[in-house]
Amino acid sequence: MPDSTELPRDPASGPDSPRDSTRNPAQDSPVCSHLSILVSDPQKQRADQVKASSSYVTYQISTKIDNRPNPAHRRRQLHIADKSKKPTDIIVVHRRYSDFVLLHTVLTQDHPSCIVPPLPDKKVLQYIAGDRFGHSFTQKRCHSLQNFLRRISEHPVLSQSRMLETFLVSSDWDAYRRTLSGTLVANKEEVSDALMNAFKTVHNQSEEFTEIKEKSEKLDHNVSKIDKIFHRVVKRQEAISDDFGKFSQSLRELQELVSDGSESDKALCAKVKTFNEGISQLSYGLRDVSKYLDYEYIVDLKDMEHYIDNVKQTIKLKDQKQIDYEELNDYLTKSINEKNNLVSGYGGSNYFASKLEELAGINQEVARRDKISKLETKIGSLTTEVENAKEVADAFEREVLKEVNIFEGIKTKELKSSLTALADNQIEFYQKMVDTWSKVEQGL
Amino acid sequence: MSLLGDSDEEDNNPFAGTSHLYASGIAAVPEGQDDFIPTNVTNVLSTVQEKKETRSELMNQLFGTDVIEPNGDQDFSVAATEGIEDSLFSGNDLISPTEYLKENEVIKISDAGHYRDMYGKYAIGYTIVFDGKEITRRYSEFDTLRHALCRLLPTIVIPPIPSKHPLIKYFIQPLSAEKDIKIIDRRKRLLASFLNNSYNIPEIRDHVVFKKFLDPEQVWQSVLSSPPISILPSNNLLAPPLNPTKPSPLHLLLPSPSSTANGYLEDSMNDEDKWLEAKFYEYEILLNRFDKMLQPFERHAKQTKSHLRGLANSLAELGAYYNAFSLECALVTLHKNMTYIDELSKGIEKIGQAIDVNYVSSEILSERILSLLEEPLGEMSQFMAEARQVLRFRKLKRIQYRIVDATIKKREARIQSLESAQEQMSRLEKALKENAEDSPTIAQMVNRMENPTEAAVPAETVLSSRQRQRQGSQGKWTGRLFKSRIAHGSSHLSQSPTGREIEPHLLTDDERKEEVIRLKKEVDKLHECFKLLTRDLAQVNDSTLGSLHGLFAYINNCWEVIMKRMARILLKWLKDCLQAWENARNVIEYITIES
Repeated sequence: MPDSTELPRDPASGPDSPRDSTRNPAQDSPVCSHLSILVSDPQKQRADQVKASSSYVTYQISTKIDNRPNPAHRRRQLHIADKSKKPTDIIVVHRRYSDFVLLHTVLTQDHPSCIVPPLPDKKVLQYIAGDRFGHSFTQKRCHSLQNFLRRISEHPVLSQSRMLETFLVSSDWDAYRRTLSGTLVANKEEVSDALMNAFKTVHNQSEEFTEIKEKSEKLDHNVSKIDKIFHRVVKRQEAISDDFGKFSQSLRELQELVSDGSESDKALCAKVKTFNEGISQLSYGLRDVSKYLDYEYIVDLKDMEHYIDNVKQTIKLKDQKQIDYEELNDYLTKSINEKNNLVSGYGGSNYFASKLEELAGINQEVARRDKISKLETKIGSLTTEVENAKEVADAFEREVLKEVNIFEGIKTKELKSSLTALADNQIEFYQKMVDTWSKVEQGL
Repeated sequence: MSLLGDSDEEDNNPFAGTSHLYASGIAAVPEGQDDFIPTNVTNVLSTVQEKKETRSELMNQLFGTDVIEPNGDQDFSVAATEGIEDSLFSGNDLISPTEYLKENEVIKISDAGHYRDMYGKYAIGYTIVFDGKEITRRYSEFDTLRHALCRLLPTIVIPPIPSKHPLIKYFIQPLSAEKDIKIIDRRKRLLASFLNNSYNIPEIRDHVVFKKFLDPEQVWQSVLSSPPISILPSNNLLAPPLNPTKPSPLHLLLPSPSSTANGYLEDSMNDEDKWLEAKFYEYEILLNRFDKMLQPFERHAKQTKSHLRGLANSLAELGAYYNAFSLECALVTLHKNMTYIDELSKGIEKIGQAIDVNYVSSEILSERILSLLEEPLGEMSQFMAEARQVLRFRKLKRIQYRIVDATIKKREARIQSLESAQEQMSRLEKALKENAEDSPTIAQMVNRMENPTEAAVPAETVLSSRQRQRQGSQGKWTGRLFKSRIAHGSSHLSQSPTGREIEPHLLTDDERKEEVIRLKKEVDKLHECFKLLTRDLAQVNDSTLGSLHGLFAYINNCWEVIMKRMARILLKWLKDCLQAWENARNVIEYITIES
């Protein structure tokens, strides 16, 4: 396993890479973020020693610590600044996908009540198809990983994690990971529980959560639709780009056809040439726009879908805690009722049972008292448990509500940045084309 | 005139069969009357106007022939719906869809819709505005006009009209208003283009038939059934090329090369001929290359159009979902969040709007590609096909010319050989006579030759040998004829009388004399034909060259206009989209983010 320092790449290339330009608007936005993270430059790495076949891809992560005074994060800033020479230094590390997975797992287990941003899919299919080193695959994943890290860095709790810091800046990460890898046990308890309770529903859903659930469904629906349609748009745009390419070919033939001849032919020929240049520019431009949409914007949309899914998962977890509490509460109520019945003498429904017991020669009175005392201890322990469960559920609910609010904040920010990027990309394309075609029109 | 009327009935191969027929044809021409120069056009015009048919006759004709166009019972106006579309487009400050290649159209088609013609029949009429007058004509009338022009002006590339609507469609979908609007709209554009293109060609503009078409006073049906259209010869090769309705009798004598006739290669060509042939060859090559290029071009235009339409549809859907998204963009709607949510919502909405603008302008762009690129490209390839027809006509004319030339040469050679044989014979006779004075034996032989019955046996041998010779020569000649037939195609003049061309010395004096006289007469006529053809061919060459030159100038101009228009609409599209996205960008800028 190569250490990040072994990688033959210039750290400075990170922020200067072409992708940086599209990211700039997001970085410059007046957001009080203390970390600017850029994931770029996916590189295929060959495992040089034992397993020659197990190549992998590393992603370059450039972290810039913002100098903006932010008292809440002062400590942290200083802490990181200790390691680097200048507070504005950009720290560059290289990580592979499985490193991200580790980070994700640790964060998820450390913060069960947090909505931990999702990682991009493992994309098993691509592994089988052998396409996982393909440009489009790694570019998309790269962008998605960046979204992941940015989300974490936006999160007030998760961003404070030591693990994240180590992940982002440590050059000893590989050693760190190696020691961790064996000991980590996947904690799947919540999930299986959630599955068991899948068919139970919460009785007393708070209004807030009813709304959140409903809206997250709608949001999910809309975003996934937009994602799907954008996919189609990209396909069509690519087709049109192709068409213009062929068109340009035909124009070239026309140009050849009219090139031999009189003065007027020559003038026409020049015009065809000018026009053709415009058409090919349009073809290239459209292709670039499609690429951007495919590699970045659609990835943003997909990530948003996943993020919403996580929100829904977390809410489900909350529901489950509530269900726990409600079940316990039911049980308690039942026990209290039973006790009350016994105390009052005649358990209406238990009449035949008591008669039977009487016939069997059981001293009803003794048995009753026995039962009552049993029930009383049960009720006692149940009450504390119910109280506990309620506390847990309530605390969880509060946490989740907070998390949802955090999600809202991150989502808004992310939407703004992705929409800005989208608009900027479109404006750039159209501006360029308007310039090109204004010239073409003049030339005609 | 009567002669012309007769000639109209004539078969285009009047000399088929017997070899004497053409002679009688020539004999029918009074001396000095073979003037084929077209008489004044106005002359014809006046006769036509006098010959106005009665109303009932016309009605019969109309009802008898008119089954092509569908008849709609409801009198809805296509123009009404079109108007809406127009306003929609003009609202966007774009070129109206009816505006076509020509900026300065002399002739406009202002309206298209169901109309009831003067006989109470329903059809889709196209209202032509020309010179302050309105004329309503229907598609079938355009079709017949074009067809007539093609026959009247074989050397001119006649502008194309949109192809006929497949008849089968009328059966499947008799009258779907929506579909019809598209077809009618397309026809409207293309028919207007046809009229203007025609108007820009002087030969068509000044043609009486074209003038009548644009004259609201004229009933088209009667124009069709009156001269010059009614007296058109069935084969333009047998008529003067610039005015086929006035064939001279000589024209009827011309050979008509088959349409499959290949280039008639000739060895003797003067420099001007060579230059001309090269020029035409060049044009032919150019036409082929253009055609080859146009086909994929058209396909790509079509593809781009449909892809753009698909894109527009997707964008429309996308815009709708963004709007939905803008309404439901937050999970918690706490009161304190309201402003943020509102800002975000507005931002997303603006993106949706930008996409909507994208959608509308893409849709418009795809429409424009249809009217500015696909249709003109289609028109161009139709023009190419037309030009090829004109070139073919010229080629056939040229072959005709060569055939006559070759025939004259052959006939003259025959006359020469006959005359030299005659001379030889008379020399021989003279020698025999001189010898007979000396030798009684020879005198006796001469005597016997002059009275063959007296010397039966030798005469018989002579005769039989002559017959054998005749048979032999016959075989030989049919062989040669066959060859010449292949080379010439089916021709009348070169159709040498099979039984007659015998070795000259085997003919009798009288036979020789008779043939020489006949051949001389024939050669005289051939020379006349040749003179006529030379003039015709020069006219054809001239006119065709002019027309082709005009065509290519027009096409080059077309390209220029297409590119200019395309650049303009592309720019408009780009600018609209840019504007929309910039607006969206500004609104997104205002989204504040909760810290």
